[in-house]
Amino acid sequence: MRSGAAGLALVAVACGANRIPVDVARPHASAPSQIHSSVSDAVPSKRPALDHAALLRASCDRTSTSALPVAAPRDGSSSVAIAYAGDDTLAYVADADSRSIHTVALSGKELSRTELDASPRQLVLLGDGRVVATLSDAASIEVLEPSSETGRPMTVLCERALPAEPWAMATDDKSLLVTSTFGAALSAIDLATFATRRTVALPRDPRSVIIDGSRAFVSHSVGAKVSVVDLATEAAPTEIALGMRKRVETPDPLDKTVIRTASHGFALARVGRRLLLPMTTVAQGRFDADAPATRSYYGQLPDGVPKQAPTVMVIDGATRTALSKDILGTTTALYTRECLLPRAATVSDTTLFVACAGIDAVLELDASAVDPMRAERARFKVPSDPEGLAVDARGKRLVVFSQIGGTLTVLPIGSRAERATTIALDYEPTPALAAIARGRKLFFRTDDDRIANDGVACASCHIDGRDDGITWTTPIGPRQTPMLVGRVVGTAPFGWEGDQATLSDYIFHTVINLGGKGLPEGDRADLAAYLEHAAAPVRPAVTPNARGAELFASTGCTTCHAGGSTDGEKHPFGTVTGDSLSDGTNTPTLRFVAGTAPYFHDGRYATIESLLADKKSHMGTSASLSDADRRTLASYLRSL
Amino acid sequence: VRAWPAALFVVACHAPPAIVSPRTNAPAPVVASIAATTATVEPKREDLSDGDLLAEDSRPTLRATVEVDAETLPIATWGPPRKDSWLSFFAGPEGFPRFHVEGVSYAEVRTGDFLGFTGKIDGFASDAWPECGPGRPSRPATWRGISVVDWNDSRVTIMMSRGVLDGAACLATATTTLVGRAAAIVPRFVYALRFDRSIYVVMPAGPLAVATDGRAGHGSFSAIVLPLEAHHEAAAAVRISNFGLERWKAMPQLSSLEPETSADPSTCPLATVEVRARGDRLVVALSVATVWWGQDVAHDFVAAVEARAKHGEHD
Repeated sequence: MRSGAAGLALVAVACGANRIPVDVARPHASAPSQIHSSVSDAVPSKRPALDHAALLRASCDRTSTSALPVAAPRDGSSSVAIAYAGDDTLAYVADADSRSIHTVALSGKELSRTELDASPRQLVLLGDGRVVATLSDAASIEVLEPSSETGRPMTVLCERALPAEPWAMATDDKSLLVTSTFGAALSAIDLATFATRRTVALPRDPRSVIIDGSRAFVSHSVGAKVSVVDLATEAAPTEIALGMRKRVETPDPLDKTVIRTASHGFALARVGRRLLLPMTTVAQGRFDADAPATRSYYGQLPDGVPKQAPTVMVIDGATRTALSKDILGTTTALYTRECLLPRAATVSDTTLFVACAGIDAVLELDASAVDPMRAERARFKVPSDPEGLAVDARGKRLVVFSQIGGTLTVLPIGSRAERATTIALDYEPTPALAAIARGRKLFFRTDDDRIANDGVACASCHIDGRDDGITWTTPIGPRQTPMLVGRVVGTAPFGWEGDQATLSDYIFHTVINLGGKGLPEGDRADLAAYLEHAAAPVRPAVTPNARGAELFASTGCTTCHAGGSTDGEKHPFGTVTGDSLSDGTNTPTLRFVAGTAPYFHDGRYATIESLLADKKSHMGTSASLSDADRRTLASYLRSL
Repeated sequence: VRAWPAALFVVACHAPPAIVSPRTNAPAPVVASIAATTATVEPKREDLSDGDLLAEDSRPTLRATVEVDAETLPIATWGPPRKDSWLSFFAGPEGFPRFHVEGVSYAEVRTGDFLGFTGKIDGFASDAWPECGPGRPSRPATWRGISVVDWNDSRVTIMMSRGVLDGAACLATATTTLVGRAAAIVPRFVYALRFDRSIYVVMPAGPLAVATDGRAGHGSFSAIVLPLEAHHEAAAAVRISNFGLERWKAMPQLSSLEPETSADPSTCPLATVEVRARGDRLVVALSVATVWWGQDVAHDFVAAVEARAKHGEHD
């Protein structure tokens, strides 16, 4: 699976594009994505070499019989997990930046650091003390055994391959469920053998998962939905839509029918049968012909409820229905203090805790409320990029992992008298990641009025540097959010209009369109550097699709998308009412096109297949292909 | 809804109301409460350490929540029309449109898109006044609200009437009437009763009232209707101002108050009324949240909710 750097040369030839230099390709990634995963490439010198080929075949059974720390019960997974070793309380922390799992005594000391050669994203603890980590940039999970000796790192027992970008997990007595974000799948793994029993295709960007009896509920960071997978049968998954209406004091009659979409469904928590999903509800704007021309970029002007507003969606797990249907406009929003990038959630009794990137805070909410986001008991300041939460029920503490800087914050639950403590971890980000740290922080700020006048961050629409799957109203017509990471090197000019020669120029104009006060050149350069070098999805190697490549050329795709990239030119296409692109659309790169639905600048095609089948799409001669060939071509495109 | 400066006329309901209520003499029993108090001093953000409470610039912070089982709230049903209950629209001095409600001390009026409230001195109305005159169509109308008769800390009388507004005469008489005693969720300040698989909640007013899939309005008081349906949650939010609270306190005496000039919504306590699903059961929750810079606004109301949450009864 991890076969060395040969794939790099192959891709360099295939793409024929100028790319940033890569020292070491992710050995088990498919060729195109290797090129874009530069920040993941530096390997700590002290890291022990792992034989991944052997680990893929190895048993995941424990190698010792000594007692291991006992897991604190929780739903789902997070980047921090609590375990008890006698009277001591431990936290295991998945530190993706450092490619390590930290073992920390909550009394204040890091006990050990287990270095890996990929980025651990989330952890679950099994009943016998073993630790399972998703390796998001290695398309695999690893099962580890903590050492019974204090201070010694964990032992990697085995590894299992999974669809691209394994993210979150949940367990019951027999199964381990794993979501794969870019792979758009849920894998059910037998806990006895760690063999994959079933792989369920899901809508794009599944994130968190919770098991509720015989069903699994899966959140999605894109698409305003929760997937429900029946674990007892092979039935196809169903979806619970999470649209929302806006309610204000005196609504414009036209606005009464506006359904808001939602994004940033990274987290799931549960109190009884109430499933809680911190999300961002979004007014992308109206597209019907009777709607007045919009004056604002990227969605509706705030009119009682901001165009992006935080909420906690509630689902009745027993009836599998969304209880959240409306969002209330209660006053002028404190734009720069909103939790627009929720990244983790956990519960303690009837309290819901939500970790918010962008404002670097943890919210304490009433989980019983109709919209817990509007029932805030308190909020706490935490270090940059909080993305992991766990409750130490025994010690009545909340443990928060902040990724940038690698810090644990331990907050007392229910007591304002006790002070919080912080524990600095042995944080050692890869050099490439450290080099883009400034741009990374800036990209996620929701409290910077230089970027936007309504608290929106770059990451609000470009989720983790990618896209939100939303087509927005703008004064120049509907425009869908493009994926950025892994797609901006060698693809100038930028923008659907192709009117910005450099990324910095494009950022300059985007910030203005967002109502921001503007960013100086240095900050724009930092953001551009982040986008050029941030990690793109890493996918398992796939069998070359020769027939698909042949069809890609023979149907004329290569005319504009040579090597799957872009010719940097504008081409005329049909436009919709109010669209300014009468002189053509800037050719987008097709890198990672599998994970960027919908398609076309105005998002008119929901799937690649529908785009290829439409004669009006101007996609070469793909519409005249047989169904079988079109499927083959679509499959090839998904491998790009 | 905007303040309408012209005087309105209110006639108290004098006839003894017909009560259809299993509980009339006690506040609704509290089934659960959550009291959450946080520091209210103003910290400086830049001086805060990691893990410190952020109180200076957050959303309104939840101060207390009172929950009552929806089944324990009084229930009222529609009955024969009250002959002394009617509604009329007319032109007042200087041509200002006006409306009059007979039979209810303080009423909210809904017909078409029109929403108005009666008050002692000032009224409140939306812009969608019904058009009246020869040939104008008739339309359904509802007027409902508070009768000051028998109003005490633990109950208040609610009267509702439905009728048809005659387009020519601009007059509606009741075709059916409901009278009931609402029980206090928060004694003296928040009352509720059940009707038509819904709850009707009255409470002090301020610069905002909004509901999810029910109806909310504010004028001389705030009035909320939320559905009571299995597995269905609903919510309403009300901003309560100092003036709205003072008016509320004066209402039982039918006292006059000058109109409010302005109130900054963001400083006003945010009272939230919710219908929450607890499995197959429904509870009605009343929460109050404040921001640190609005600590002095409607303080009595906030204190009453906190006391109810803490002690289960009015202090």
